[in-house]
Amino acid sequence: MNEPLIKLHDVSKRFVKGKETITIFEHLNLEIPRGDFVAIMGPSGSGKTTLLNLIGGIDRATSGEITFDGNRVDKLTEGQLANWRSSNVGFIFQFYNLMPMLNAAKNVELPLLLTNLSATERKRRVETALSVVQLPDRARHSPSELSGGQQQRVAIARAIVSDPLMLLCDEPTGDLDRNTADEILKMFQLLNRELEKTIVMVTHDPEAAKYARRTLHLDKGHFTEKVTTI
Amino acid sequence: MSELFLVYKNLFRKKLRAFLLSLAIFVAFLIFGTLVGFNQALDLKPRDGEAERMVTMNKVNFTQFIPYSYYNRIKAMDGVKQAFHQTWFGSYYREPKNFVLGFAVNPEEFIAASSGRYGITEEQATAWLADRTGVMVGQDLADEFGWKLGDVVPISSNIYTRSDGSQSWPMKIALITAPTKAVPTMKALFINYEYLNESRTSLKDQISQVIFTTNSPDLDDLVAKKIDDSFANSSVQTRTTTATAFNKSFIAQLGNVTLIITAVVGAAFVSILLVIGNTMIMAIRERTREIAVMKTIGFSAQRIFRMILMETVMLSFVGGILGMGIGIYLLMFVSRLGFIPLPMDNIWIVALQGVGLMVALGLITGFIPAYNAMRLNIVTGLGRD
Repeated sequence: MNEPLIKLHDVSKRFVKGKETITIFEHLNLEIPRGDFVAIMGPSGSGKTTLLNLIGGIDRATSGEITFDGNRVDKLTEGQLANWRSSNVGFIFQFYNLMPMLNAAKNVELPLLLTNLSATERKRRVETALSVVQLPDRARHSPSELSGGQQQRVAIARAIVSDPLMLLCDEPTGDLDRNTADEILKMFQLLNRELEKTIVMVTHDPEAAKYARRTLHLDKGHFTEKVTTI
Repeated sequence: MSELFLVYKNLFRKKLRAFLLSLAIFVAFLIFGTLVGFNQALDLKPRDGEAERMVTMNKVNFTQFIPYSYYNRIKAMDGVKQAFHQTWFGSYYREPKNFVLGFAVNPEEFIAASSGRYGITEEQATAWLADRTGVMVGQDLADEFGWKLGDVVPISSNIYTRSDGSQSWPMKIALITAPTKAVPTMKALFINYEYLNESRTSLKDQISQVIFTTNSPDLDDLVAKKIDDSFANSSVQTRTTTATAFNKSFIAQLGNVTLIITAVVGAAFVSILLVIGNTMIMAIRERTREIAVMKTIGFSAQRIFRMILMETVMLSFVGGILGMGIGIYLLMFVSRLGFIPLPMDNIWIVALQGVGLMVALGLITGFIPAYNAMRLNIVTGLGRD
């Protein structure tokens, strides 16, 4: 592992709700090296998902600096952030969030619409991504024809198809049974080890966290760390 | 997959809803195509280089008559280049249900004034001039009743009575006009005025209209005023207008045609606007989470805005093209029946207006949902079911 890919410096996040200001965390510092696989755990309301959203550039910090590969992400405009996300970040959600009117292959192809790749190249990449998640034979199936585990694999294929440096996973196994969850988590390990994807995973599940290289516990705005050897 | 494909898939994700919305738009554009096309046809001006015909008729309305002597005075007026008169015959073939658009004219003057307008051979023209019972009919009318040159057919009038008490005139098919570019379809007949006038028991020496051209289009208004002024103190006063205005006044008996058409089309579109706008707002709201996911993946707010506008414009085109196409086809069908002169030369203007309206309808109905989607906060959107 090398220099930090993601660096949060003195980051605070507060919400204003009516007359009340709710502080999620204050002066948070975090470094995630390139090629790391980090699990973030913590009680409900500790700000795990908010942290993930800040790292992924879909939410903005109240104060502090967020850098990605040495560049300030928190300074980007909305349009620049959208471009940055499409090139650098793959998102995986708990409830898959596939487009119901598109089949698996078209769902995977979705991020590639934002590139200048030819149709042939897009098709090749979609096939590769579906092969990585071991679903090449389900390319023409719609999400409703797939099991939860298969849908999550399609979502993973969608997240990796544009070859981003970082994958952000929000409770990716929260809706799956144990065996399927293990399969998905092994896939994350594979992506981390073989394709050197930096993965940040929010989870409630201690079993899931065991698949990460290290686990960060977020509580009351501070981290405690546990290193897992994998 | 292209962005257009994605828009298409979004539009037809709920097929029944898309079908019903398309149907609503179809009806609106059917009304638009038919009514606005109809109005456009009535407003048709002469082609470039073609003199506008003027019409002098009874000031009361075109169903009233003017004395034949007016024709001779108009013909002799300064500025009048060529003139002929026509008289409404109220004709039908055998039974009143077989209504036929028919006029009594002076064949010689009519042919001279209409040269090039109708497909007339010299041989047939000579035959018509030689026989007072001769009648000129359009090819479409001849085809409808199976008439051939030389056939003698009974043509009745619902206005005039002959001295023997009958209302039927035996007439010989002397001339069948071929379709021309100016008159592609013709379902009218023209009989000899002298033949009518000498045999009718009432309204002798009365005519319906005088149709003429002037030496220059610049003189039209001047000549029209001069004619109407010269008969201003007579027992029968006249009104002189362009043929376009005359055609429109023919229909205007029903009321202010343009106003009625504008009101009907306007009401249809306002209703459609509200229905589609409301449905699209709900449809996009149902997709809040998906839009948030697309934004998360990297689709920019502007791109989302554009895609939703494309979706509503596409919806507008699906129903609109079909509705307007059928509307214009219906209009052409009515025009072919020949009861109302509806030249279709400028129907492409209606088609262009329709396309413009489709784009406008799509943009207006899509704006609010597109704007809402553009402004959607990703975190809020992901949190919504």
